[in-house]
Amino acid sequence: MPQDEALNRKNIKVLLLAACCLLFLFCSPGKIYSNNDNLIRELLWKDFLFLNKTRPKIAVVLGGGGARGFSHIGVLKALQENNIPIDIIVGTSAGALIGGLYASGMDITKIEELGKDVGWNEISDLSMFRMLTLITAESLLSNNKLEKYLAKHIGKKRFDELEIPFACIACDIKTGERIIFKDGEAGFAMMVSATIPGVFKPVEYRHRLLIDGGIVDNLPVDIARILGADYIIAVYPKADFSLIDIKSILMTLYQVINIQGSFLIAEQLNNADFAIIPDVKDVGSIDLNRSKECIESGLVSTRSIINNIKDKILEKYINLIIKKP
Amino acid sequence: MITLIMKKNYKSRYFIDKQVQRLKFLLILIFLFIVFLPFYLSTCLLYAEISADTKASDSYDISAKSKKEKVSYYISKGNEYLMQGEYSNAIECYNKAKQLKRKDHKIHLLLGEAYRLADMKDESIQAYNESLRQGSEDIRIYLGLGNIYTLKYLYEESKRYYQKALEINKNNITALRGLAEIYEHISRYEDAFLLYEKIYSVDSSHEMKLKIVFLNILLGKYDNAEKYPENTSQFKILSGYINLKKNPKYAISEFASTEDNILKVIAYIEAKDMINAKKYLEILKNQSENTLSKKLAVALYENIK
Repeated sequence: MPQDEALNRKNIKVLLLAACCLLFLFCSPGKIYSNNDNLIRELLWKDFLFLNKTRPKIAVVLGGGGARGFSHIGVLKALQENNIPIDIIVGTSAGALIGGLYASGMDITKIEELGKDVGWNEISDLSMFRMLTLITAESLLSNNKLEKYLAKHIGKKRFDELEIPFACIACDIKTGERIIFKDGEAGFAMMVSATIPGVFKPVEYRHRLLIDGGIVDNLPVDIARILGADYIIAVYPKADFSLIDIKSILMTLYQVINIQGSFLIAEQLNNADFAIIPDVKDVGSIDLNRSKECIESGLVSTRSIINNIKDKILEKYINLIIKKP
Repeated sequence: MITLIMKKNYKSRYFIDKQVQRLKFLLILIFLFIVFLPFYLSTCLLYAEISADTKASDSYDISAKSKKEKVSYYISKGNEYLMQGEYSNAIECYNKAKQLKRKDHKIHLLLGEAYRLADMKDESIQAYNESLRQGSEDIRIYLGLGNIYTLKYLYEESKRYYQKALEINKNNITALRGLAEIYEHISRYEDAFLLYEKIYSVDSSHEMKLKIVFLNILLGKYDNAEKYPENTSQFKILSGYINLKKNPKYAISEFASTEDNILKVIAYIEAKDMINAKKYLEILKNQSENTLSKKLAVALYENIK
């Protein structure tokens, strides 16, 4: 029967293909090497962690980006679950909020829960009427609620009381100066760093008028270096601008800030030892309702490159791991 | 004058020789064409006939069947393709079955399996979920979803599905392995170790043994790790590492029969044998594969130099 013949021929082909696949699976040097790589990576990583006091300091720099900054939660979670030590945290805007909470010692799952539940109502006095009058209003949204929100979660902790050394950035809107906060009350500094221009009222502080640090420096890698970091992991949740739908004046303004910000971070990214860019697609700066999506993107982006991070750190410090004669 | 004539003759002879060569080549081509053309044509015809026969019998089979029969025909055809690794054909068949009978959780389950094997993760999740929505409690759905979410790096979801699979069958090896791998990914080595030990009691394969030894080392339990001696390359790397912590000289002998790796170099450095350390460092540096050992050797070479 021709049909039987065809079937037999097909079966032989399938068997041959299966045999080749099995041969490839069991004998390919790629598999042997990658397995050995996994063993060696984890063994050396264990030794790296055992360096204790002599271990190089790893800093995580968390960039701004409004709602996109929720991806920092996913990044921190992935780093923590893979035993990548975080010795210093520096942040701007949303990066300052998430980074500050983490530096205060708050559990990452708790931060994740907060991130999933947060909305404009929790951090501002936004209402439908406010929304309508936002552009013409004399006073913008008050950040009292954000300050209270932060005080509720980290209390009145000062920078030197935090579990991980932390710094954040703000901008003096009168002079355009970059202001670095690393002393005083952490919650207040975090709130100032996230004072989104055009939404929140600028904060008066020691004869200065302060707003979101992202305006002058959206990824302060150099500050981490000043704080004593040996290895810097920069995190910048970059949006795909072409996907964002610009329908309002506010969206237009944010798009302008986004574009300018991406030029500003280029040099800072180059100065970092490793860059994590969570794929947040078209999430806009004010899309707080998409926090879950952003957390997931940070988590997935970091988990998928975790071996690269470990490899790069090991490459840089392999000489420290060896007990030299 | 004589030399000119000779040159002319030489040129014309060279030209004739070349033409003869070309003609010979053309004749060979024509010969081959005439000989093989019938074979080629007959093979083409045979294949066309076979496929036409198959198609004709298929369409005859399908048209002659009732709706119920058609569904089971597409399912069995899909299963056949799935077994043969022809996932796109399997998907096509299952989708045809689905079009005929939308409310059948088995079809959605099979579709989920086929999509998963074809690495179409989102489609697979959708199909599995549809099967669950239609009331299926087949363990394969949970195992499939667990596998896909692991591949998507979404370990929390993956864990949830493997745990559901274990609620159905607490000793399911695939679920136990999946869960152990997740714990390993998120550095919960103690939990991973307990699960691998449980699996090892029924599956004492080389791979399980390796996992147990590896996790014992990561947990700092070197004595426990040494209870599982094996003679393969990867086990030698692990026992070499244990000796590296205890006595570097023994480590060198362990590494002697393994693939060259950076731990071997470290063993030589710690044993103060810099000549061999440099020798193996250079071997690793010149490796063609871009392994972690090679990358570390390049970095270390700069430091040692």
